Amino acid sequence: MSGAPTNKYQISLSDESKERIIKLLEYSKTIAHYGFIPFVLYLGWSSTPNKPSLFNLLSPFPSA
Amino acid sequence: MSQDHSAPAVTPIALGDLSKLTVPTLPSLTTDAPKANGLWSSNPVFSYLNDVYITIGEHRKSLGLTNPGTIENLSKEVTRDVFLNQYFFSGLRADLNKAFSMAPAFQTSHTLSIGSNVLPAYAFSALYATDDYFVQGNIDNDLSFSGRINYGWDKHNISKVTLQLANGQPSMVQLEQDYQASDFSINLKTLNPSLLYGGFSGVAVGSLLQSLTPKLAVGLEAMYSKQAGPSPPESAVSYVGRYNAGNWIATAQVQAQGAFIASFWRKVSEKVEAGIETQIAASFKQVTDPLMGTPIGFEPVFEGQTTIGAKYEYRSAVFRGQLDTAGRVSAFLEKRVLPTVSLLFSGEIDHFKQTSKLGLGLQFESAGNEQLLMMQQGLIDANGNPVPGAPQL
Repeated sequence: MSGAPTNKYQISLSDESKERIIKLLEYSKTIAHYGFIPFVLYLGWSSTPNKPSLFNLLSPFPSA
Repeated sequence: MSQDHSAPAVTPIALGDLSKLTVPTLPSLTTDAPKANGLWSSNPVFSYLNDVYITIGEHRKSLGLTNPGTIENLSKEVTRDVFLNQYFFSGLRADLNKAFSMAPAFQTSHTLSIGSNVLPAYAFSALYATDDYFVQGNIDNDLSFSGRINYGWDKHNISKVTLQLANGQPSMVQLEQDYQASDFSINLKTLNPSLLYGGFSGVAVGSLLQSLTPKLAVGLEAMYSKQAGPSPPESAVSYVGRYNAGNWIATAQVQAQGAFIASFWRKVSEKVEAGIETQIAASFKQVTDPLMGTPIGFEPVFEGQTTIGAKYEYRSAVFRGQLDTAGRVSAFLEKRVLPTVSLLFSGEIDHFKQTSKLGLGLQFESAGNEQLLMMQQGLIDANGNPVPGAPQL
């Protein structure tokens, strides 16, 4: 059972392109890891009418 | 509209007089109803199938069924609303939430914690939500990150992506699709899917919950998991049922691993809810030789646990208390002392193990602009109008 039939649905990729995909996934992980929160802050900042400064965005104290 | 279209078609036009012929330059915006004598409906097989489909559809409507919710939220009323497990914390903590805008919602939050072995010392999170999507990110002092994106395509379809990344730990990504129709819900999700290591690896879960009567819903959940490498795949099917009678809800789950979970929720009064949950799990435990310490066989083990809890909502406080058969008594109190400051207290005593846990917390709400600040203090309402009875500015 573990022979040919399982290979039928397998994507055949060369080791080189496999490595490339893994590397690409690693990069996108790093981007998501450090870029996601700045992205959320940017989304929020751009939709807020009074455009708070970076310090106001990051400080926990009221800034009115 | 239809008269305009049909009129030129029936009036005979002289062959040479093409300019009088109305040639539509834009496709009509209104789609035509299926023709009664078209190929699809005139052939006996399809007309029969159409009739059956329409009859079933009408019959389904006549049953008055409602969407049963999702399997994930099957016993939400008990395990998430009444029980305090997901609110419980130990040690000291402070939450500093800052709202920048309400619609779309944009909020940041800083959480500081001491003396807890679950909560990180510092965590920052940001949330942004509009009507059709929701983005949230959370990062702590170890740079462990978790993020969520939910996107609603329409009111029935929601796609969800959940990410968890931490340095030196395996990362986790979950893709999820929710489809909630008028009387059933389908949920498909996959955890760490990959096609790189010889076919599919990861976890795939599909679930269906269907309303049978306006109150009763049944469903099943199928799970398939395959680790990368030579290990064989695993699969499991769980069955669930839920009966919602308005002021009480009963649910039951039979899980493939041999666990049975039943829960019961009841609204005792306007402000009081109570819940009870029983879990019975059958598993096999390895029996070791008392002298040699070598495994000699297996014995079936039945384990059960029952938890009973209640939730009281006061005007400015919420109290949750629960008691379980493992000897634990716990309580959680959330009290709003000022419009922008809440106090949290959580405590647990384990009578069998003679241990206890205590948590104290403060929650501050602050605002990024003047208007929200006044709104939080109850001086103005969401439209910027002064609240009657509020102190004059």
